[in-house]
Amino acid sequence: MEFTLWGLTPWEYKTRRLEAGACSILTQTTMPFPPEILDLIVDHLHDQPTALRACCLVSKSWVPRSRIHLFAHIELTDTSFKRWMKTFPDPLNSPAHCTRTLSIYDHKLVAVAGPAVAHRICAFPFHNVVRLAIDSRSSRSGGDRISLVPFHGLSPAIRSLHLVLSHTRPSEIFGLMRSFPLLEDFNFWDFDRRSWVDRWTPASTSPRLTGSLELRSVVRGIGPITRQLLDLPNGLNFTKIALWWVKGAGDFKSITDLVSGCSGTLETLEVSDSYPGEFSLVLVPD
Amino acid sequence: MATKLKHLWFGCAGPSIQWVTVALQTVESKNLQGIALEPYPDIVARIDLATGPILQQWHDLDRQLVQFWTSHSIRPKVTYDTWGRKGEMRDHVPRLLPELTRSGAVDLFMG
Repeated sequence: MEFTLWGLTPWEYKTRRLEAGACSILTQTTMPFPPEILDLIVDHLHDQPTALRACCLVSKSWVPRSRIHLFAHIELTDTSFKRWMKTFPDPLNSPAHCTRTLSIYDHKLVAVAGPAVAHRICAFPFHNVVRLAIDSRSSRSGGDRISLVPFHGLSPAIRSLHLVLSHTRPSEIFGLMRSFPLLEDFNFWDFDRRSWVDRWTPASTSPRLTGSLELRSVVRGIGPITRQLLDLPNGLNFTKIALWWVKGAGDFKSITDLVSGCSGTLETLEVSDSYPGEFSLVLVPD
Repeated sequence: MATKLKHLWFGCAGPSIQWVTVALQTVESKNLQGIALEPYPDIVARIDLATGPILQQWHDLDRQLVQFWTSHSIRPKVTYDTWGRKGEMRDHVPRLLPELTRSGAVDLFMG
């Protein structure tokens, strides 16, 4: 007569015990994979925010790696900034340090958060940002616009700066550029109708500017910004220059000056002339 | 001037093309590998109606591009986009750049 235990043969009993043991190992907190492998798994999901959010719920240990991807690209608009402030009331505990690309759209931000919005944004530790974009193209004619001064030195790692401005002084623009020593790419869309009255005082140093330059000026042409770029103490070392909506002899002289200024490095030149009149009517606020 | 220049791209919003020819005349780079021209869709209609001076500007550009083809073996690329408008750039290229078209030295691309 065969020995049984709770109605199971010894072989069946042993097999069930082994299965139960394996299940408990998988469901307990013991990690079946080393952290490096888990990081690779999470990295593989870098472009799937839904999956990354689910990863954050799996285990506390999965949260930091998931946040690196979830908050790599941040766009601050009126609604997203309100949500950000509500979710992360304490800047130091926020995932701002995970952000690589920070885009700030000023259209409604100032209306929501007041003129001091820049100070509130910069209270967060965005010190790993590599690309900074500020779109302050506004229909407002003065006062309530975002100030660039608080963004000075926002992140020492910034290599790319994209500015879309309608009411900003050149001293603010060049002060901001100068505060990023590793800056390579400069992209400036100028929507201002007024002439530049204040003159930027050249500093003793400026970034090397070894990447790409893109200039678009709807009304006043690229002349004013070009002249001030050429005044930078370390010169221009761009490998690519793209100039849009150029018009008139003044702009074409600026192209020649820019090409001469980058004569030792320039590999690609893109130039587009102005669509007569109509761009200005559509894109420039009154 | 820019001696390392490899790529040139010109976007043409207006029918006048003289500025491209002038720009090309200043190129001194021996490393130049490509010249691209992208006339905006709207100018096709204006070129069609254009009288002497505009057409002459295109023919001057044609001669300049042929020089680049013969001296540097650079085949210019012309990109066009119809945007659903009448009259495709493709149909106008033989009239605007006749010598280049005859030489078979121009590549047409739909953007």
